[in-house]
Amino acid sequence: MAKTILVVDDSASLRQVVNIALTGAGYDVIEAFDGKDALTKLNGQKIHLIISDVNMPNMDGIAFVAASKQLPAYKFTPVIMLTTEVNELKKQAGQAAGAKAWVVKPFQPAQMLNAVSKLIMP
Amino acid sequence: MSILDIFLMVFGLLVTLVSVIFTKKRMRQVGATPVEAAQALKRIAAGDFYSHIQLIPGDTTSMMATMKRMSDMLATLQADVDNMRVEHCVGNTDVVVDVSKFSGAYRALATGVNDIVNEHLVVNKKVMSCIQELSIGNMDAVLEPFPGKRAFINHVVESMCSNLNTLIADIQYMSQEHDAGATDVMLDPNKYQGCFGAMAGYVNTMVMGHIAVNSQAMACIKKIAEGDFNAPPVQFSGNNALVNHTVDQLRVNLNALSVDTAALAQAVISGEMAASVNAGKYQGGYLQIVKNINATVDAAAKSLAVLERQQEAQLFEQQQVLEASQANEYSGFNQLCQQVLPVWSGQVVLARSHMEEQVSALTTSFANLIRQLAVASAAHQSTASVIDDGSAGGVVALFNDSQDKLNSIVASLRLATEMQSSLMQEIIRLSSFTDDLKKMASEVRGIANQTNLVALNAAIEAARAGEAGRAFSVVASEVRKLSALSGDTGKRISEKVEVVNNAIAATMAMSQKHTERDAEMVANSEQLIKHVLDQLRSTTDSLSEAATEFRNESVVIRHEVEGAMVALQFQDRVSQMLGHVYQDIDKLSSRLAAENVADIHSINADEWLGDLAGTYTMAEQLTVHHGDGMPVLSIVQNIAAESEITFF
Repeated sequence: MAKTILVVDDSASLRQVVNIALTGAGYDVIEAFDGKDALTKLNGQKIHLIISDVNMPNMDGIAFVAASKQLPAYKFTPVIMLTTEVNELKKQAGQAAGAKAWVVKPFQPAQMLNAVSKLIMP
Repeated sequence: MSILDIFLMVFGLLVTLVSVIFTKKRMRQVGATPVEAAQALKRIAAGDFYSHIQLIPGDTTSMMATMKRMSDMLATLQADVDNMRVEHCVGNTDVVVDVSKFSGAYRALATGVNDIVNEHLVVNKKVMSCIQELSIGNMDAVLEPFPGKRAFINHVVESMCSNLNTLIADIQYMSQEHDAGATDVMLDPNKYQGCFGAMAGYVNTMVMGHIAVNSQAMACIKKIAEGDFNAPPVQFSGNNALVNHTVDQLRVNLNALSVDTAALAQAVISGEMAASVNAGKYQGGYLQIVKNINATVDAAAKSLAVLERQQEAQLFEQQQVLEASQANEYSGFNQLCQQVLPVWSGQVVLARSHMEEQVSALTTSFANLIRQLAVASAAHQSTASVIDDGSAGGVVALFNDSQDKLNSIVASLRLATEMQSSLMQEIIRLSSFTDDLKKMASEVRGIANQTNLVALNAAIEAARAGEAGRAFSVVASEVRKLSALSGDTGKRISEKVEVVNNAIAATMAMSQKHTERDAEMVANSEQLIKHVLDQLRSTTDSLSEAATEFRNESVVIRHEVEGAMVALQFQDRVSQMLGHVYQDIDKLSSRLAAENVADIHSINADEWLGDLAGTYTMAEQLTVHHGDGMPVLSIVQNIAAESEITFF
């Protein structure tokens, strides 16, 4: 059974590139275009990992992660933040919200897959 | 010898002389028998002054009487001297022997004893008098030098004086030095002995103690003098406790002043110009300082108030003038901005949308290409793995397996041919047996012939023998029958052997043919197998090469794919940057459209740029914002594609 990863980013092309990398490694991918949309995807289906952008309209990545940790079914789902931000304060906010890793764009597919395999739920 | 001994000896001699010269008549003079007299005298001479001397009543002039008087005298002298000894032992040193009781040498003896004792008492008094002076502190007391063995008294007293003088001098020196400020001068306890040394030690300890108290108090005050009002307080006990209070009071006052002035400064800084320090808790110089500070702050507040009022009036005037002029000069520019900014904004939005659309389509095509490539390479990969696989399912394994099996077949065939030839050997052996048999058969025939001949001869001889030979001729004819039979048997054996031999020969001939044919066949098979294996090997080798080449190409392709995937991510970056730009243009546009002219004129460039910089999400945006002069191309090329990954 392939594992499922939720990818949240307001940029369609970036979602596609992440999709290519993940499906190439055998994962199933669900996409969302901002924090609010992502929360609707957390509807009970089994999700093994979340990759989320930080700067998005309607609900940004930090708020989304904090909200997802409030849902019992997704409390322990590991979250990787994928963002252009290098700001140390934003990083700390991400960590405080419950993210497990902070990847700065652009990402190398091999390194992203390495981080995914390290953190993904069994 | 003492005076007494000499005296007694002389007296003894005298008595003997008298007793020799004078006889019984003299006995009366003697007062007792010479023997008694001699005994009494002996006793006296031996020191027994208390034995009873028996006198003739009324006798006062005889020798015995005289001896008794002498004995009594000596006893008295001894008793008096002894009494004096006893009295002196209990401290009554004024007791002397009463010399008036004695006369002559006895008196001299008694006087001598008195003199000896007196002499000692005198010396004692002198020494004691000197020591008394020393005991009350008069170190100038002098002791007359005593002669002879008494000189040790002088040494002892001098030694004591010397020790005391040294100690006194050293203490005096230490006292002077400390007075002059050299407070490190101490006594050396090792210079003195016993309790003098201990005294020196105690003096040192006491002085050092006082110095320590002083130092500690000074150290604390020094800290306070240097501004450290939080220096740990001193805590002395006893009379020194006075220092604690005094030092602390100093600290408390200075601290209070420091705290109050700090509070005042804070109040003034936060704008409360009416603040002042409460002077009620200070006195003397401190009070004066506080009063001065309060006066200063007051004066400053008043001046400031005046300045502020002046400044306000000035600013108001300036503003009026500026607004009037700006309203004229910049209205045209303002209008332009209000119209062109929305246009710029719109163009940026359009460019961004175009890019997003097209890059998205590009990424989709790329995704499809990747998928097809994956499918193709998967197929190729599975073939390559079949070739490459060294395990039981692979071609190479299959090839090796086939080679083994074929080789074993050839080995079996070879074995078979070998068996054939060993069979041949057996047959040849067999034919050699038939030769033997043939020989034996002919021998049998020979023997039969010989037997026949012998039988014939025997028959002839039997015949010649006539009647006597009749039985013998029967035997001979039986023998002839027997030999005929043997000969027949031998012939039959020969014939049979011949048949067998022919059969063997035929078999051998056939076998030989088969063997030759089989060897040929084996050789052919071997050739064929080798040929097939060679062809197979060259095929698998070329397949293996192709697989390796494919693998190398795959690595290159994957590298290119990953590079493309990194590049495609830049659309997101560009989109964000353009977003920040058009949002800022819109912000300026709406600000300029404000009704209130003051709002427009109050635009602060630094503040605006600061807000803009705050919206950035990428490091290179800041680089360009600050305008380092770095060429854009190098900025763009420097963006690392090494993902910075931080695990929490």
